[in-house]
Amino acid sequence: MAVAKALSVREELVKERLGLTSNYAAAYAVKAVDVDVIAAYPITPQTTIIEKLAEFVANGEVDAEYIPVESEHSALSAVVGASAAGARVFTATAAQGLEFMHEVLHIASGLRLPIVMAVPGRALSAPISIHGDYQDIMNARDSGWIMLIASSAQEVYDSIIMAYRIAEDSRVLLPVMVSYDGFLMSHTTEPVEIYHEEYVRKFTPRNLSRYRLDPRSPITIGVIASPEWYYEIKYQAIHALKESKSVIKEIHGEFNKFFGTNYDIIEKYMVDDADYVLITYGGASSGNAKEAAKRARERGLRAGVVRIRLFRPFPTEELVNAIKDAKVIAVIDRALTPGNTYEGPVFSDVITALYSSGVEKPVVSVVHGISQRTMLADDFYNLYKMLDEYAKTGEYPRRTVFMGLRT
Amino acid sequence: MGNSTVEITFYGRGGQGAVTAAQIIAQAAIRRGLFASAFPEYGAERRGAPVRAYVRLSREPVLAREPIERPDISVVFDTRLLNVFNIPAITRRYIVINASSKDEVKQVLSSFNGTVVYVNAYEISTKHLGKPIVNTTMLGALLKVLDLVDLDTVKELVLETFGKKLGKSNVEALEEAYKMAEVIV
Amino acid sequence: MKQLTWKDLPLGGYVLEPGNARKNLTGTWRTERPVIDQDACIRCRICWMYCPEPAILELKKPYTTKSGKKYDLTYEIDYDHCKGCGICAHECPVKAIKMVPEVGGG
Repeated sequence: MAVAKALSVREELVKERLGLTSNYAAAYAVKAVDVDVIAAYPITPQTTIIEKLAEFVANGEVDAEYIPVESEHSALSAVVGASAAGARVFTATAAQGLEFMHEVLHIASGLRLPIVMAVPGRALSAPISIHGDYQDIMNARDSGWIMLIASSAQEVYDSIIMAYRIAEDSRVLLPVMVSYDGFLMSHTTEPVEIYHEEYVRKFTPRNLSRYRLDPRSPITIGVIASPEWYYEIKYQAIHALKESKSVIKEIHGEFNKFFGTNYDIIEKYMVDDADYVLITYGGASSGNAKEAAKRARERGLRAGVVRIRLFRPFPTEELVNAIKDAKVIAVIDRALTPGNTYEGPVFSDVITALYSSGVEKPVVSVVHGISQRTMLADDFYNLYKMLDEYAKTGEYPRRTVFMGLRT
Repeated sequence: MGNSTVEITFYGRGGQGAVTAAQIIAQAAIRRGLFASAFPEYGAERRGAPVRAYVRLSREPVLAREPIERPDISVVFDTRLLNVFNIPAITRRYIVINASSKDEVKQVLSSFNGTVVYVNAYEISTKHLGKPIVNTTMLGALLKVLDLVDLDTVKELVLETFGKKLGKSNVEALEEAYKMAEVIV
Repeated sequence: MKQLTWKDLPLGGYVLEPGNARKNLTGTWRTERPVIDQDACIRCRICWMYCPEPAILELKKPYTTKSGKKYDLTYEIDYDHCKGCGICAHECPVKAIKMVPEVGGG
């Protein structure tokens, strides 16, 4: 019944089913929500997003100011200014570009500006790598942005639409980063159902209920705050980020109802009765883990996957609830936190979440797919077998497992 | 094709359009209501460097995002790539190959047990495009053995991808290859 | 005085009241004060342009110099906000502004 209703909703909303890369899907979403200002600087693997947007603007399909700036630092700075003036804005970057933007990341969240940015993740130099992983995105983790990690081109499209609603919500007013796998998604063509723009615009009306730069009613944005004020103003922003989770869930619910989809802040795949759970993020890790879970189930292992879709604020309660009955868990990281007790950054987040809930579990930290090192579904299947072994022996690694590393 | 997912790998060199060919096939399948995913195995892109592009076609959503290790169909733009990627050994069913003659095919694919589709793509593409960019020509040959997508949809996409003028000569190359390609059992 | 909590402050540290820097009396920061010699001043407006605060007041106040020259305008210092940086004195083309040490903290 619910499924039939969802299908009929989509029949009305879907304009066409296209073969798009995640980058093009991002550009189509930006077109659909009707932005005012786009500023960006090209960098692999992001470039095709802004190429497509430049094409849309040149053809008159998007009525926006397109600023071809001289660097990523300027790209984000330009949209900070435009957003402060009340414009709906978009930018995109990756890798060194995101690093170059880094100081402005904190400015955007500190000034509570509803900026939306797409980031197909890429490994950082040195050595120089153009290939995908999540190091750039992980480094942006503490900059106070809401961070969604998508796992398909359709999800990139839908997430960017949702992102504008989330960012502009007066209970939130924070920038949103929609990230996904560089190359393995940014350059992968797959089916995307794009919606009639009138419906997208109905879902994303401009929400201008915030203070904006306007000469008719002057305010000052970006002043210095002495130590007596800085702490409180910063706390406002981190409080807003934490509280945004409920708003994000609410907007997910509205989106699902409106567009006939089924998104949540985490995705559970065959988890309910699972003994062995892989916690993943992004497209390649999650897709291959799901494929592996299917294979493992065929061979009698109760395997499941929990994919983290909302990374900041972290879905603590939802994640703990999803994994609390599992026997052994592994967290697959495609980024590193060098020098930490374990080198998998999201592993640490999962452990913290479990700790906060008083749940003790064997959890294994696994690093894989660094600089797009080939990840096979069978690698993940082998992980399930390893977890089964750990459950039987009660012994499991107390340090990060670097999969595929030549030793 | 009995399997639920058909896996195709395009082998080319940077600049020959293998990535574009893979995308056209995926888009054609998507346009026909199927599920598909196409992605390239990139090095830092350099003209002339070996390139692989993968396509999965399926009637169900494609979960896997791994490179194709054992393709059902290998589309080979240049016979010199056969050994670089060990193509005769890893290909399950069909090798669609650009070669100068049937004799050359027999010689270079003597170890392959599956079915070969032979086309002289350099000749056909040079005739229609004035240069040996073989991707659309190879698509014509591929369509001999791939029934999940049809010639008309692929032609439509070639026209959209290359624009009016270039699109027309590419469609001509595609059609001639579709006619000329020989299935050698 | 009870200070504002994180809940009371405007979002993002925005300053919502236009021109409220006026309330911040930075005149107490000075160690030297600029003094304009109204007879030497040629009303060129350079001090007014250069003052970063801005603490040079341009007043519609007629003035006649000792030598009999008549001006419609008079430039004066806003000592409530002048921080005593000395840029005005440095830039004055006729050396009509002198920096005088504050006695007892201004």
